Amino acid sequence: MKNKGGIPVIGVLALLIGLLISVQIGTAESSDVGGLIPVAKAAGLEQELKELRAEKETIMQEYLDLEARLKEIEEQNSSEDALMQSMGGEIEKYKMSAGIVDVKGPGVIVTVDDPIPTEENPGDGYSTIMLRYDLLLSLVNKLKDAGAEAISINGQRIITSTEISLAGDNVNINAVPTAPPYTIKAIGNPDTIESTLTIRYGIVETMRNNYALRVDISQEKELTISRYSGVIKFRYAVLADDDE
Amino acid sequence: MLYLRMTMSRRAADGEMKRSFLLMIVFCFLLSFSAVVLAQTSKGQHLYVSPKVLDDYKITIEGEKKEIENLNTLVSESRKKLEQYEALVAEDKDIGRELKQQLEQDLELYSLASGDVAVKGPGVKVYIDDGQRKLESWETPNNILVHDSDLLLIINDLKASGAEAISINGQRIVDVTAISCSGYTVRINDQFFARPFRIEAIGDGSRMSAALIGPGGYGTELKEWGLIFKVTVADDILIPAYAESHAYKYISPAVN
Repeated sequence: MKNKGGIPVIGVLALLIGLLISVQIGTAESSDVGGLIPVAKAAGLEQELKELRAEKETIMQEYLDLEARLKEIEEQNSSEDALMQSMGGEIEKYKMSAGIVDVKGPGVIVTVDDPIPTEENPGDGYSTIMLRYDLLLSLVNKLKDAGAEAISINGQRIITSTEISLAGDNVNINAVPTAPPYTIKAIGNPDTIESTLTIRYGIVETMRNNYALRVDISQEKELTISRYSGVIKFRYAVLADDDE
Repeated sequence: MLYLRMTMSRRAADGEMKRSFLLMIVFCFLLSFSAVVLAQTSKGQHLYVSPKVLDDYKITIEGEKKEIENLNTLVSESRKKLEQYEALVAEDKDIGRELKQQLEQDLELYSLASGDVAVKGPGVKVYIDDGQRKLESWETPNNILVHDSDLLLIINDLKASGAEAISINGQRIVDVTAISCSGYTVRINDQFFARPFRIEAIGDGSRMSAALIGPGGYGTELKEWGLIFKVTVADDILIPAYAESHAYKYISPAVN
């Protein structure tokens, strides 16, 4: 009698252990391909990113305040000088062409993201769009072809000197490292731009069908593209005098 | 292992009932505890993320840091200017001359950046033409022709190696310049050009030519296909102004 008392208890225990093991295996199997990294680590990075973006906002605001005060002084002291005033006007015009002004207007937002890893095609841990950055280059060229007047990728304004280059494991745009998902904003005629991109055998179809990239296009009534925030400096080029 | 130990504990229970009960209670406690822990951890949907997600975060963070660095440079430049002005105002001196000088500097800088004026300086001249070699029977003529994508990549490489102004066949490359193939010609800034293509770029000549014809450079690759690709470093390159007007139909300045 004494012996039999323990058997149901052990049965229950064995059941529990079986359950435990199966749960454990289940968790291990359902994880992503590649190595496993706790989500907490990613959350930490996300937090860091948020803080950096807030810091950037603050510095940008400080810069705008400084510029506003400088402009105030300039205007106060040049209101009677016609030459200085016309120079000021010309500078504004050049700044607009150089991409050093925040602009707004109707246009299109395109997002490009890497393929979702699947059973058959788990990927090799590298980003497709980063390795094939020439697709981004081509996309930007198509946007220009469609008459886009201002373009940005992940906040980087496309100006005359903008490069899209693979530097190590990063794709640098305006010498600033960028990573997917890529958000490309373009101001121009929304219908023309969308049709140019989505034409059969066009850039978007190539991206989707040949590279399994996720591409979304949406037309916007009004969107804002921020200015080039890098430092502009010319070390080699000077004005050609005979043209002046 | 655990199970084995428990069967052993069952045997032990034959002798000492009390001890085994105690042991079982401890086991039960441990088990329920681990079950609770498991239940808690598996509540969230994404328990783990792939290394790629982490890499993407890190790169974006690096990018934001670079942006902050850029902005700080802008801020310190503006602050220096403002202090200079304020000092002049405080001393009640004529600020006009100082301002005029500053305006002239700004005008030069931004006109250079806009592409609306002609510029000169040292740099490189690149000459690209279709290949002249005989095609093998399996090849298509595409293999030895210059395409718009070739020009696009060369221009991109030049920019990445610090080109300050670029032209193709005399057409200034600006922010809105598209390069697109249309049949036998290539359209650049809404004008049509055909082979050969002459690209001129102002900047660090040795750096730019190394990027193009160094190992793995795009020029080297084109040459291997049989195209004609020549780079020469030059001291005095003249690049004309953007021929069209920067007239905007859709964009307007956004005021914050």
